[in-house]
Amino acid sequence: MAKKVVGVVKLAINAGKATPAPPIGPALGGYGINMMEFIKGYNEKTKDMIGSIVPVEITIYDDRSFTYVTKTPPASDLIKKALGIPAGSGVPNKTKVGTLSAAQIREIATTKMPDLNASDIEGAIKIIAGTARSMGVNVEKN
Amino acid sequence: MEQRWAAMEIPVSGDAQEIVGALLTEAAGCYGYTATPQAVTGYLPVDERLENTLLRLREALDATPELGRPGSAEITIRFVAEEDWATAWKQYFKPQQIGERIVVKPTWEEYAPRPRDVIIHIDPGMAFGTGLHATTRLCLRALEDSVTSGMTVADVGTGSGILAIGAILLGATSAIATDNDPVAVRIATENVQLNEVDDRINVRESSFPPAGTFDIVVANILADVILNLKEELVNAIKPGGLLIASGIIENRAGNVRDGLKSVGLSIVETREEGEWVAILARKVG
Repeated sequence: MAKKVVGVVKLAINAGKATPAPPIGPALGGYGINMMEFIKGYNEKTKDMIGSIVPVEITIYDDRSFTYVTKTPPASDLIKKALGIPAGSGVPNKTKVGTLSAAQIREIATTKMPDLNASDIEGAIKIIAGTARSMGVNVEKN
Repeated sequence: MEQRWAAMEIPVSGDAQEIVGALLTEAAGCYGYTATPQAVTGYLPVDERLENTLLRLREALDATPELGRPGSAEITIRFVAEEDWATAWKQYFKPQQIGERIVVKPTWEEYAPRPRDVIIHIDPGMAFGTGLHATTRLCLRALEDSVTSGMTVADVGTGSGILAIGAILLGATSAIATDNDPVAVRIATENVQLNEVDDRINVRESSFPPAGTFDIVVANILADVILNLKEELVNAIKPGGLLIASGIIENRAGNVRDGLKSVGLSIVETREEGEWVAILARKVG
């Protein structure tokens, strides 16, 4: 019996700390799935990564069952780790919180390549540099 | 007071979603975000800080050249009232007949019992085991076929307590239910009381099957957990007794059968529902 997919929901949420609050609640609430079963499974699966954001893609079927896969951490997380800072800037265009070297940017871009659509490493570097700037992180030119 | 949330939807596709996602979680302080192919949405509680945060978010979007022309121009804000999202699924949890006689009844639903019904009252809370999942149904039907009056039963990984309660209501004399999750232990204890079988079911927090010699051990967990516990499981069964193992996805059934045979169990039957299986195995006595 083939099940029909009724929705695919992509979420980026804190590892091990999922709750029914937004964004999870409103994103999944409408599908009538047992949300606590997802939250419990996600938290269990990601409990060793607490402190990181672990994106997850949830596929929901017509019988209200669901499956999900976790993805690599978002670029913002890798940038914070590289700099050893707890959070990006609240006012990124004014307050700067750190500086990444060109080599660090390239390394993060290489890590993220599998999950990006960018066709080459230069494209991936542009995205990582843009993400860094949006967090109030300066980017060193080569 | 009812909490309200501001949903901020920013149209952006492809890799630039990473950048907008970072703005939402870092600059705006959102707890996370959702993404569709066309847009990214973050949520913030509506409070006195919201206006200031939105202002900063708009400025930051405009200062992000990757987004093209002023990025803030296309931000859409909707307000959503907080609902009971966690329990919204409960409207789909209705009384359900499983096997010949068992009826699983959510505590908040009405149900007019028929003469031979065995009714299990369940409020699953945050624990697994509603009868909505194939593995729970496979185990309940297997219990209905196997439990006779006077038996002792162990339920390993009890979740909501549904299988232990079912076993008692089907005629077992006593049961021990274990779970390694304290939340499940609390909910199972509540469900045991709800069904007025607390004098016959002992709920314990434990990762292992209880020591003892039970007529039936039911373990609705996962293939790998069952394989890891196979020796403890077989030790808990009395000679001639039965193991009901489920939570097994069909492509792991062969592995589990081999593992159970290696500890001296003889496979009686493999039952399937959808992509899930339950394996019934007897301890040769």
